[in-house]
Amino acid sequence: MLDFIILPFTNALVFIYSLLGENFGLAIIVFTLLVRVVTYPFNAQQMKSAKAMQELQGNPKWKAMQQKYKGKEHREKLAQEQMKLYKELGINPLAGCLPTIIQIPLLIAMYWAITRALASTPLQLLDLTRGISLDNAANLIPLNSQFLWMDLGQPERLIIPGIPFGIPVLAILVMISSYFQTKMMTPANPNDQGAQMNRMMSLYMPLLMAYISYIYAAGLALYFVTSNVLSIAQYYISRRPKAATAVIPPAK
Amino acid sequence: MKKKHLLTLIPLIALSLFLSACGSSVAAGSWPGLSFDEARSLVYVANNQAVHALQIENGLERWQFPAEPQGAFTTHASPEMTDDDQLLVSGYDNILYSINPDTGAQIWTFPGASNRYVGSALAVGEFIFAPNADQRLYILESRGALVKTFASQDPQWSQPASNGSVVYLAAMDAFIYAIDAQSGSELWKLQIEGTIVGSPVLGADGLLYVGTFDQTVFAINTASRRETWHFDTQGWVWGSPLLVEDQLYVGDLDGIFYALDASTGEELWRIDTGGAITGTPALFNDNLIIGNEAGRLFSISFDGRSREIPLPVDYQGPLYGSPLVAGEFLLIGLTAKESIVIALDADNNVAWNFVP
Repeated sequence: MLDFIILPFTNALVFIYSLLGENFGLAIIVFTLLVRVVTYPFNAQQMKSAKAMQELQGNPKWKAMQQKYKGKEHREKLAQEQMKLYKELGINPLAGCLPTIIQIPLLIAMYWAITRALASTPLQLLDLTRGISLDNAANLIPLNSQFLWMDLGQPERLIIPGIPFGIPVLAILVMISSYFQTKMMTPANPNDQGAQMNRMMSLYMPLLMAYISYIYAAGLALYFVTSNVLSIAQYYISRRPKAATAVIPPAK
Repeated sequence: MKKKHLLTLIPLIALSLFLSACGSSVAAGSWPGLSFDEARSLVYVANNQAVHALQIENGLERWQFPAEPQGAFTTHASPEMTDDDQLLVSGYDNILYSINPDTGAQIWTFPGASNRYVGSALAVGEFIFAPNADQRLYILESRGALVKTFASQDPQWSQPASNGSVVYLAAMDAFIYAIDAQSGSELWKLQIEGTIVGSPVLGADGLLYVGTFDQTVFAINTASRRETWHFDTQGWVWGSPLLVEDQLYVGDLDGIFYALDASTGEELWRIDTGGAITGTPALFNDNLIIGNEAGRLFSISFDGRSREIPLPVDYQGPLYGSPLVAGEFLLIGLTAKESIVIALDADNNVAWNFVP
């Protein structure tokens, strides 16, 4: 169904792998960086929208509206007034959704591309032989799935002598980074319904991502961690005040 | 649960289910593996979550291992019989199983590998040689105790070949390793070109034949440890060649089926089957039998005349595995429909089918 994304993803991953000394972990990291660059306009829009929504929480009109239409019986009226204010301030409350919607097929395509590239079963390998269009593919396959202590084709566990179980380091990193990433996008006002939904998201999303990272191939978890870290970095960079627009107070 | 909780959870659950579906398709990642136990008149079919022992005369199931689906156990490699009456089952759950071929009861397990067994184990004398995707060949004594491991640089997917004293392992790192069958020590190794997925085939004259993803079939002289000849195919070679007297038969992923002179590598003829060939041909009633991914089954004479064997619609689907001759029947492993194996008689009629 998503072959039109999965095939280019798989080929790009294998191509980067061949350029980076046959290191699949580095290939995933570099590829994630490239995906973030390509989707930058959408992500920037999401950041902008999140920032505008956060600033809105401090708007006196917004606060007054929350007070005036308190209670379940005024919910509809409150929503109407909020929409008016969004319009007035030029905020599109749904602008933040688009990047998230784009992320889902990307995530699924990434999952399949990693699984297909690492090809741990005969049918996956057969799929790979058909989907790959690089000249030197016959000598690249099978891809080396080892990266640091991980086998990127298997769920990751760090085995430490003396500890009777493997520690899912990547799943923990995914949970922490997902938490911070979703938290950044969450408006602070506890009374707003959208903000409450976002807060639910910031709770459930890290847990879900950690669970996926715990049970699926470590390559996918590495993609999550890299993507989250890049997203957090992009957020902080975008919030830095721009020197060119600094206002110098007039001399008295 | 509150509505807003539900609204948040629904897309997350949907994503989780989608990825879970992807995961389950990974588990069923191959096709049925078949083997025939002539002494018991049993056919063993390794497919997904069970090994089925079927009576060759009618396809009725004698036993199933495990009796109920068990944990992460799945298997696709052809079960291997040992001289001391054990059936070796290679698990995708990283475990090698020894089964009683009369009852299907488990005798022992070897859980020491860290990845799946894609290829079959090989029993040589008192030892078992089990190739694993964790890049190790596990050498066990006949009751499952680990004797030694033998490492390659890439996964090992194919069953080794042996003449009784030397085991020849073809790994995905494009090396052929010759291993002493008694000590498990490396005697020599030879690098060829391209990933190797199919098992090597050893001729009586000591020539070892193997096909690779480098679109090549190699013949290696095991005495001189050098390449005797190589033959360039049109597509990548997945399956093992079949050696019949002085001719070698092999198919490639472009769907071309070749007949080669086994001593010189000279091409005798080729036919285009119209679909990727991943299996090894079988010799049935003086004809070569091969299936392809397009679901077409061919009967080919030694001089290259081919005839398609039509399969009833219920059994149509990709034919990835190797056909197997068992007694008077030709067994075909299936992937598409409910039946996982059918038996064809000498007239190519379906004698029986097996639905798990």
